[in-house]
Amino acid sequence: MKELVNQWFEQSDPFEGILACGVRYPDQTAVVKTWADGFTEVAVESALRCVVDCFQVLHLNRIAPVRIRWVYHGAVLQCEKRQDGTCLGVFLTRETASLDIVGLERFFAEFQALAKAAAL
Amino acid sequence: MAQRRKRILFVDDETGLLDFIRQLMGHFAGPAWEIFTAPDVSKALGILQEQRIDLLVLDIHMPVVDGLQFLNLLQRKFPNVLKVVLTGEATEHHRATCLSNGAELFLEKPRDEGGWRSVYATLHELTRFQPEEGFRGVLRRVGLQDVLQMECLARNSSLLKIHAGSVHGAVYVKDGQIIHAQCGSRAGEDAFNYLLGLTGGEFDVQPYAAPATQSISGSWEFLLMEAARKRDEQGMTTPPPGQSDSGFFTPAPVPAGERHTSAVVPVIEAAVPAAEVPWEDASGAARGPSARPQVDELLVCSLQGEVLHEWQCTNTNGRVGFLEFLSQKARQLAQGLPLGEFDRLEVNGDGSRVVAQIQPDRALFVRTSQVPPEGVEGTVSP
Repeated sequence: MKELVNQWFEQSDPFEGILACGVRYPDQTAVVKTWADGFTEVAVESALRCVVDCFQVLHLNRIAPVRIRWVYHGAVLQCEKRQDGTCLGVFLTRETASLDIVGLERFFAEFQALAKAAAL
Repeated sequence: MAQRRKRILFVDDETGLLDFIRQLMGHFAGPAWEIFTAPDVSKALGILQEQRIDLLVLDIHMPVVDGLQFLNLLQRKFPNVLKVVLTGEATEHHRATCLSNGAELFLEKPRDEGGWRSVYATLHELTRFQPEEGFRGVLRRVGLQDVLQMECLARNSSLLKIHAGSVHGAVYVKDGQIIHAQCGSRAGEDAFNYLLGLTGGEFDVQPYAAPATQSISGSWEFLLMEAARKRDEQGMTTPPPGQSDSGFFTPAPVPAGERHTSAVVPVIEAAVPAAEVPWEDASGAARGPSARPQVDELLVCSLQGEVLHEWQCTNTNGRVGFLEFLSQKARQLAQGLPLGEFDRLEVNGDGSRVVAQIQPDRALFVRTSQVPPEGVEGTVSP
């Protein structure tokens, strides 16, 4: 499963408005891609750790998220976690005019679909 | 300039392990760390009251007061102390519970020296998170008064810059004595009392810079007491308008210490921000125009974790704890990234939505759900 996600992640193309993204696996490893200045792989990987912590704490608070958005003044981080614990985080520009929403939604849909495909 | 030795406190009921940790960590850290150990919570609290501890490492399984209860207490009494859980029972449930109770890290007790070296390296990195100079006092259950008290007790020299909306002020501390305060045209004790009466805002502790004049000569203990007395007498100074530019729900000013439980359903149009990106429900389909949001729960708390306003909140402590966790995590997440200030977390669930916002002077938690328009039967439409 991890190989499948890795392959998809490596082959996926950036869409307009994406700054960086990464996948964190349940075994605590991660793969990261960055395009914007200042988004180092180390920092993005560290951010994904925080995202996973947040999913766990939300669960503890009986809040079942499908997607979470961390809104900062300079950028937005959107994240989804699959049933198998794999987590995708995407850093986006806050300028909505510069964001390819269709591309973003397709990216998340593909991420979720991979789990279903693997289960078949 | 030589860096101050970091003071690390280990709390574990296994005294043999504490001795081992003291030796090993002392070996790894050399003179960079001053290591303290405590076999129980009461001794740990004694050390915390006497020493300015930078990092506390605790086990969660201890008799009488266990680590979770202790974490909770620490979060209230010593919010600025970094907290790490080091346990032999590292379950996911424990991990989430500890993180939500203020722990920065949740580590498993290692079984070999290499593992202990990793623990040391992790703790060392964590202590570096604490800037030597300057920090933001946002939603850490710490007030300006607490920081001033700590600076004076430690006989530090520092400059506290305070911002609240259009108000900008500064308090000068030299060798543990408050020597000057300035806020606009106010100076001296007048400025000091005004600044300490602010209900919210931000402050930064910066390196000491000599003021143009010295306007205060009294003892810091008296000044702080007098400021607290004046604040109680006159009521809180209302932060100036324009402090928040987010357009979020802002409750009417509530007197300090007075919890307000409203029987009126709050208006949420202003409380829940419109997402820049169209929000979707769990199924991935965009909301229909017919569905309308309904507020299920709302909580507003101060930076000190005091509930200012709540409506239908079933677990107030849990929500306050979550907002504190969020404040901490949002800060950690942004480290090393050009994200700017954190504004809010939006959580989209199966037919429900949560918005948790951290403002400079308060935090907000709103949970809403989608309800069908009147006349439409059945479940929530997407």
